[in-house]
Amino acid sequence: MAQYPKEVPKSPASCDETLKAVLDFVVFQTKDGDKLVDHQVLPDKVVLKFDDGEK
Amino acid sequence: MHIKSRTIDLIQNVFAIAVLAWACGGCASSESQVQKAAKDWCMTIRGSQVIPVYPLTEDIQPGDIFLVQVPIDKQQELYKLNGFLALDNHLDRMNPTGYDRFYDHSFFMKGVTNELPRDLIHPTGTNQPWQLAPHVAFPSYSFTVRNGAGMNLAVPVEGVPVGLSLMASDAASGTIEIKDSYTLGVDTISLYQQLEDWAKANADFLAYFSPSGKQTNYLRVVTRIYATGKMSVSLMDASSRSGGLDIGVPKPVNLISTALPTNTTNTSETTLQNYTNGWNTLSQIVQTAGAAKDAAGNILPGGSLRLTAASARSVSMDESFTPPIVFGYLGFDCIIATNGELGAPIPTYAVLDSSYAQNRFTQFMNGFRNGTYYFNTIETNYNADSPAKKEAIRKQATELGLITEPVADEKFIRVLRRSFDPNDAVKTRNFKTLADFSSQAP
Repeated sequence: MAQYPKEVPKSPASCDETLKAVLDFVVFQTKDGDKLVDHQVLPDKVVLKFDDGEK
Repeated sequence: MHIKSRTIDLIQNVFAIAVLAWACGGCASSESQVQKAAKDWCMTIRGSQVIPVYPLTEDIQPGDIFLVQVPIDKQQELYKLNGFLALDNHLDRMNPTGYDRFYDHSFFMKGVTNELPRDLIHPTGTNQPWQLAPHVAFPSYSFTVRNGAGMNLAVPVEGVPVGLSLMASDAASGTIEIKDSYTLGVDTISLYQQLEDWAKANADFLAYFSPSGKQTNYLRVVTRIYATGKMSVSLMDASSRSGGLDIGVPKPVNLISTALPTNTTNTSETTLQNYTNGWNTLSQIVQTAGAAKDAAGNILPGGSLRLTAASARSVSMDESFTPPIVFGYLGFDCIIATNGELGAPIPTYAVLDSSYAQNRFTQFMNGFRNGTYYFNTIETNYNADSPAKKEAIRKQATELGLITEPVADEKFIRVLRRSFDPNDAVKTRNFKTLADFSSQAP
């Protein structure tokens, strides 16, 4: 089992744009079974942590 | 007695603290003044859409490669704080091969072989460095200056303090013009191609600077430089005096506004003679101030001053730099990706602009849109392919660095998805290569 981070830059224009980008990315990244296990909202980006679920 | 002793101790302590505070305050003040000088000067250059070089130097040219290990947001912060970017990690100097194509229809004579940048910076057969290079012009910059209280434009030229001294003034307003300016550059495309070759040759070295954790490193490459051979400084005395009382030595500029002698009838001739004498005296003072010489009497490198105009409350001087020195540049930045590969070139000016955040988001969205299309193409083709073609795709993915080690057939798509990163232009490009490969007939 291993965790890996991914980053989505924040849109300076709109929070909705950032939210949509984060959700689209999470949907794509978890399609094969990996899980979103943590997140961190920073001034310029959102850091997402995924778990590959492998033993 | 006891009270008296405590009082003496107290006075001694207060004195010691005062001396310490003065000493520390002096150091901090000196350092902050130097920082302020750098920042003020750089802000004027930045106003002309040029990234300042500080300190001014002759030794920077197109093709210079610098390593940048500061994150972009931190760079923006430092650039705002200091006014310039440190060019302290000079990795290498490429000799741009694109000069000929870039200039042969404009600045080169037909049938003449040119070796750039030398033939523009130091042309043979002439004692006039940079004369053949393309000229540029900059607007003049206004400033105010006050002795002892810092300047709101501190410039790295001698003309300002010398002029201030000549007027014996504690405050002045003025302008500075960057004259005799030249530029030399090369196109980004040819330089980026050269940089890619350079990166391949130095991949082992660059691999040390591959992304690790949150740390991303960059290469900064200079594409254009700006040099000046002369700066003109004009100062107007802005201090307020009362009664015209001079204490001690009168200010030198008074030499050109001395009173007329009362026992002469030829007023115009005497006035002219007075002015000429005063002018000569001032010129000598200025030249002495501006011409630093070594032990052998040779003029040291740097600017030399020449008086161009003077009156009782103003002084104008030209400061010449022979040869001209570089005060600004333009360039591009490339991310150092995994295994020392390079990302797409991004203009340094854009990186330092706060709107770059918008560009980063846009870049992510483009990478996501294109990358998911490539990924879905790979997934569709892979699931429909023969075992032999599947193996070939997995091998190709390894060679492109999209997966780090061989994986089983059923795990391939899942592992490949983990390497997907819309922020990484190189990786997105490699996904496209793999998508094209997967679309080819077996």
